[in-house]
Amino acid sequence: MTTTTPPRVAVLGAGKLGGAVTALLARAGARVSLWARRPEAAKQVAKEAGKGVEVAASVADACRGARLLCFAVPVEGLREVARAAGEVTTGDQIALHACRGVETGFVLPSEIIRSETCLKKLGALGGPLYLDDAAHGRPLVAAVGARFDDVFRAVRVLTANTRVRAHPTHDLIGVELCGAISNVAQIAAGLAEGVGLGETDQGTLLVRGLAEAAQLGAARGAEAATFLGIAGVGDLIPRQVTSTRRNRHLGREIGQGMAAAHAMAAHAALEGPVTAREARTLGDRMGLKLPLIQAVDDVLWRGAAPAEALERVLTLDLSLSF
Amino acid sequence: MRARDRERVLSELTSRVVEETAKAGRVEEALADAVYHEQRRLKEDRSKTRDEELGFWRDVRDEMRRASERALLDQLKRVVARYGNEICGQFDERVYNSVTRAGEPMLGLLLNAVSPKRIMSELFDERHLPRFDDSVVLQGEIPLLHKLRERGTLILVPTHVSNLDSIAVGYALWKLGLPPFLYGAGLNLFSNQMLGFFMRNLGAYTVDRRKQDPLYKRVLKEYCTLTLENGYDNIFFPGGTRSRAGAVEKKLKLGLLGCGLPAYTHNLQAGKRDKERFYIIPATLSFQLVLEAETLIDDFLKEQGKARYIITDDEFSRPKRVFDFLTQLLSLDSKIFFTIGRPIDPCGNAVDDEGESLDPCGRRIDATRELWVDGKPAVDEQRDAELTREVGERLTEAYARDTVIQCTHLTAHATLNLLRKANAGVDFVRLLRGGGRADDVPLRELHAEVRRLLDELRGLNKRDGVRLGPIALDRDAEDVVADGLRHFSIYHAQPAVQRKGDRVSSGDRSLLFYYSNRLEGYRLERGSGLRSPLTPDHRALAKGA
Repeated sequence: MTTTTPPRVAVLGAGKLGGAVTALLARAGARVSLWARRPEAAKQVAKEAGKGVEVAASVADACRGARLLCFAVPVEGLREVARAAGEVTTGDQIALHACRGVETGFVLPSEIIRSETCLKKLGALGGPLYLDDAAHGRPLVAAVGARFDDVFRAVRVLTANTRVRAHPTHDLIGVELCGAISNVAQIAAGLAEGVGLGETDQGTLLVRGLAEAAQLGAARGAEAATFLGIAGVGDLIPRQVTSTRRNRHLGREIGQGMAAAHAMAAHAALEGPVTAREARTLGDRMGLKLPLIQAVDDVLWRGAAPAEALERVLTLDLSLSF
Repeated sequence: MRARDRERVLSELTSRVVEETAKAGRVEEALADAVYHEQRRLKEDRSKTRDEELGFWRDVRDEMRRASERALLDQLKRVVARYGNEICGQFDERVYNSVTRAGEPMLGLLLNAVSPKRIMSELFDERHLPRFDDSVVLQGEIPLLHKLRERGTLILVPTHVSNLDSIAVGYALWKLGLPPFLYGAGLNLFSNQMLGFFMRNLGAYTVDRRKQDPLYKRVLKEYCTLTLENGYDNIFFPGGTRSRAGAVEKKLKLGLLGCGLPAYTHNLQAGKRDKERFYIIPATLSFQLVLEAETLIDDFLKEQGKARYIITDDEFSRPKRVFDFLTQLLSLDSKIFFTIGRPIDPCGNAVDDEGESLDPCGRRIDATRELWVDGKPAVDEQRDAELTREVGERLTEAYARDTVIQCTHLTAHATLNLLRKANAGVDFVRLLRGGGRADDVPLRELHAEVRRLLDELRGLNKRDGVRLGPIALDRDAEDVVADGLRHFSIYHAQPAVQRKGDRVSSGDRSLLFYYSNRLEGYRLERGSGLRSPLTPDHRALAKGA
């Protein structure tokens, strides 16, 4: 009987996502090299995950020789980590990320990794990706957007012994946009909740967010179907309306009267505010009509009153087109 | 292709295509498709070989009806070998050597070879032949091109605006001291026996775009792959066909370009060490005037946007027109720029001056690992298609960067902008058809608009975003307009831009649109309120929307 060595995976980041991915892969029998900016956080995750997880001293150590690289860091730190990885990466390696935001200039996470490394076989994890499901042994559902089939094959191999249900799509940009703009829509829904609007209005804003993501997607070459699939609607239905996620919380706080600058300073690592600002800039440049994104940007960055900004969005003709 | 390689390559070609088709269980289907497509094509065909061809396909069809599996395979071999022979053609090194040894006069002769009668009259009077020496400017990464040729096989991918391109490229390669490259030339270019003779012996092989049979396309692709594997430098025109709208190519047909990756992978698998690398070399050709401009833009604007892929009755098929065009163009001290761009590897990575692949940060990488499957090089169609798409993106960037903007482009673009502003609210298609309130614009305004464009373009040029011709680079707007008008006045029946006193108008707005489009995609109209008529989907324009 022959035994095959399990593939080695580099997990970069030991936050909620990095921790969950590490635990999941370790349970599936993969060898994981875990790196985190704070070594003690990595050690803690490794200890909890158990066998098969080693803590790497540097990004390069984690990535060298790994079959797959999982970038589990917020978008604001992605470039630095990718640059360090780029010192040792090779063209046959696969990279995944789960960032839900953009960099200044509306640079998508895959574009950041692409510009700092030789990696081309890139995938974005999107859709519900509800980590609590994984923690409770329930199926973890995610969309995997990638242009190369190699990425899907690698994900299939790694998750063969798990309850991960990865839905592949070649629309990498579409999956990234769904994730990024859903955070903006979450802020809008939080604002609505904060100013006392009901669930119908909150739901309307979330759907509007999806439609605007689709518009941006069309301008960037994404497919409309992605926004109606697991990465878009599939993310919206299971949890967004009643979400307690941090972008929603930020919106709620501002809706309830906290100054936007103060609230954003308290939630500095959130990806939604920067995404709103950059999406608005891009939309203006491309002549797109993005009233929801514009309203969130106005509230967060230009001092607009939440109630008035939302009222303007909700009373517009919101005919949606995907 | 050299005679000593021909039989071996054709035999390998046949066995690869047949084996692959058999493995996919598609032998009968492939034959049936071939018979159907070819018989259908031949219904409309008026060539001398029609009867022989029809006879061949009738024979294949009849054989199929009673054939065993073994016999079907033999029929497939027969069809593939026929296609292979037709594509491969003949190359006689002796003819090539004699043509290139004679140098410029012979290449001038080649240009006139479209007319055997003319050859006779010109042969004895070299003064009449167009002189290229002073007119073709070779620039860009020429030393690197020579260096990489020593290290690997080159795939030259030029922009394509005119049928004169292949001849201009041939001239440029000869001038650079490089041996012939193989390239696929449309069957229409071979229809003239004399021109066909020269083209074949300068490295051209035949591409019959009328053939819709998937098997033919498969054979063509495999032929290209094999020539690359055997170290033959190739030229592909990734635009597929001449740019109809006059714009720098943005949408490329990547079919033949995609041959680079399987060829490279096969060489890696075979452990080939001698010149196993491939380098893709973008090249741009920039003319002040385009021989077939009227036909091309007319085709672009044809009703319902059904542009013809193959044009056989354009200016290129009229010898006098070709001759007049060249002599008039060259008489104006006009320059044809042939710019060699920065090479890339077959995976789309930049390469350094030693030919080593680089990542986006400029670090050296082993690009062969992109072609690994389970730790070793392997062909993967989906991966290769995606990498080739990236190559296409790098090429379109290179084309935009290396295109040389000349006075005709600037003069046309500025005039069209002013006409659009003067006719605000008028449908663009109507404007092109001569409609609108204002027919002409003041020369003074044209100078101002050209000045604005020059400011933008010179800024872009400093950031390596575009190249400019000598006048556009450092002379003032008045000189640019004067040179543009001078060029427009010498060739086209109705000039794209003409001056009447202190005003300018267009004698042919379609032509104006054609030359103007060379500046599309450089975002020169930001803030002017004018939206590009070519985006987001120029088909809408062609449909008259």
